Amino acid sequence: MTERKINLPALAAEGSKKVKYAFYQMSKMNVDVSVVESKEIEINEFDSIINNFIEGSIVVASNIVSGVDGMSILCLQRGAALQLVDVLNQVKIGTTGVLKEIDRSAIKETLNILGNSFINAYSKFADQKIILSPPQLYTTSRVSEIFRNFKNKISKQSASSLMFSLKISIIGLEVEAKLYLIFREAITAQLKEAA
Amino acid sequence: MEKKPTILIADDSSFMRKILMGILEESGYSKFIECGTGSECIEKCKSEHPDLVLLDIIMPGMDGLEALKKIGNAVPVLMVSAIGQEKYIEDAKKLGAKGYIIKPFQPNIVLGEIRKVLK
Repeated sequence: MTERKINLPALAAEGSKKVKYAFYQMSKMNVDVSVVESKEIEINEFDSIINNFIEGSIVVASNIVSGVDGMSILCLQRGAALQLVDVLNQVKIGTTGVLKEIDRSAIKETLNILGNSFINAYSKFADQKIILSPPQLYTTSRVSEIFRNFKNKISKQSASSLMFSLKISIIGLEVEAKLYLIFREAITAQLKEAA
Repeated sequence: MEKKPTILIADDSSFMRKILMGILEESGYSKFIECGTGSECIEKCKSEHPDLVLLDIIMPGMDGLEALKKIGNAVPVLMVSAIGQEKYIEDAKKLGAKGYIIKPFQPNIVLGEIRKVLK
């Protein structure tokens, strides 16, 4: 595979542009999406990150099913997720208290589009076809287990993670979400060259 | 009286099915069938004889491309997916898809593609 230089800030900008468009289409509202922070994280550091997810947070995870070994994990706090559902359902903020099946579907799909926006941006920069599996909602403890299984599967190879900390602003509401893309080291090594 | 077309929407996300139906209802379409997997889509095509299928690519179990192969020319299919990669657009078209819509979709593009197929 030809080594290509990938500029992380440019990738973050491309991904957030796609997310902004996606949220506008789904909510019919002007949305501001900013990447507050983007960085590469070593896989061992990632263990403590997952363990520190606030209990009750909404976590959506997908495996990469084509292109490379990897996974995508999105995390946002439950209160923020409920507010997002209100926006998507175009009801007053604070309406949704208990997530119904369609609300869970709304969150999954929204975060799926968010994850795919960044995966598509990465694919474009890396010139590599990457597809995510259908997203699943998990508890924080379950996602720790899933990540451990994933790490065991690739134990012979080092891996690292890209983290994008996002701030999504809609009609005065600010939602923070963190997106983690986890790849084999050979992939993210391309980013180091461009740093 | 002009017969309204029946549109089968195959997507594992009930939220996205709701969004699509909303777009179509605003434009006058009113007959819908929903399903959440590729295999259900094939069954519905055989039993309900829709006029058009809007088919998601990534679904649990049988994915949309596999379902598209099995549907063949029985009913026109538009692929609907969050994947925005040109290589998959070509794969879908080679398998017989009449068009491709990327999520999140613009209503005018969705309606335009549907009108092209149903004319």
